[in-house]
Amino acid sequence: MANLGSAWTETIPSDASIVGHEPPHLRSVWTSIALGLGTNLFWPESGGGSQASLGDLRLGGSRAFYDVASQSSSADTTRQLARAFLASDTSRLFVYESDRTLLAGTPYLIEHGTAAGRGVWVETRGQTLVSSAGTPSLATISFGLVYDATPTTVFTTFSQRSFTHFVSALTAGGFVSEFSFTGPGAQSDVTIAWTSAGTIAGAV
Amino acid sequence: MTWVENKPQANDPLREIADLLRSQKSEISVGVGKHFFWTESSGASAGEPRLSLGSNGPGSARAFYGAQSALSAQPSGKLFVTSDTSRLYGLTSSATTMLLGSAQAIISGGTSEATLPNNTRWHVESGRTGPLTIGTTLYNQNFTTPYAAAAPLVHAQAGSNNPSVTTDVLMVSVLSANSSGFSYQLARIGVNANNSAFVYWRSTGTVAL
Repeated sequence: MANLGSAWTETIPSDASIVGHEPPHLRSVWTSIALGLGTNLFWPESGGGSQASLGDLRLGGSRAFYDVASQSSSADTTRQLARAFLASDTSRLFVYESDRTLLAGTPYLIEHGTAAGRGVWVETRGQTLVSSAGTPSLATISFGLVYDATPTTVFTTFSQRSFTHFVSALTAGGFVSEFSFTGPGAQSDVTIAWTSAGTIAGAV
Repeated sequence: MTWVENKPQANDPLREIADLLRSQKSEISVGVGKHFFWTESSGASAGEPRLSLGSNGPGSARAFYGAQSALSAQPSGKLFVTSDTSRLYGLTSSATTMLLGSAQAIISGGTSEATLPNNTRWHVESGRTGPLTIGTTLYNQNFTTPYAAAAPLVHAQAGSNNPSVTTDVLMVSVLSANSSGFSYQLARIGVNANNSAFVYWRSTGTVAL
């Protein structure tokens, strides 16, 4: 990291400076510019880069805002759009959209134990009210999206007591729940809370 | 034109100075302008990072990139993408690293439940309660952090308090849920050997960002 220090002086040349002193001064200016910009940009000569890469970003050539989360503000939409904010107290990374702040990263994320190939791991969930007339009853529920393959897991929870239930069929787009009422009391329609997880190629 | 640092020399003709200055200014404009507003912008915005569209992009930001073992202290706010584990880290000057993202992170699909509301984030709580008496008792479980206006989705699973009994079917049903908690009951099919059970539960919903 460059520390220009006294090499960058803005008081010379002055009106009283001697013309003959300017050549070495100008050369030092070029060197200072190359050193300074070369910290985060590829820059030729003293910057350590090449003419072909002049101006390209070096690795690590970005830095998010860094402060406590309460200082995060995307109010200035013109200048803040797409900027990043790293919260020093909650360890969360925010990015600013034109009309909102988005959570882009957090140490509390849940990481799947296996890779998703070129896709991403996606979890969908919902609550579906289904008819419960027979024993057993069948309910076909759609995930609302189609996974790349049969999802790895489906969980179901029923809203009424005394139902035995299991997943009787599973596809990339949904599942069939088979359930039976065991009593006591009257059988009625039931809400199934469900969660599925699988992979989807590309962004969601 | 190229960037030069060995000009002007003491004996160079004065008439070369103007051409040199124009050339160097042009090089600065070309180089800085790849990722920062410069000549085409107002003075107020010169030097600000460009958005993807106008940058030598995509984007005027570039994280460190290397093996996870290379994580180290950097000026706070720098980002690091690991080449071997596909994770994104935030760096600090104290060498404390923050895991921020992962290629294996589980994301929430946007087509079930509501699309994530403005300025909110997903929040999960889970727990194990019990042993609780099986019967018609209505149990209540409060969340540590209340959810946003909408009730979260709750899953619950019964767990045996008497593993030696294998003839009973234990069931738990979530009868209602709101932003602060949920209510549930335990039931059993079997020979009545189990009179109590544990409940394992997990709630998923949104809270304020």
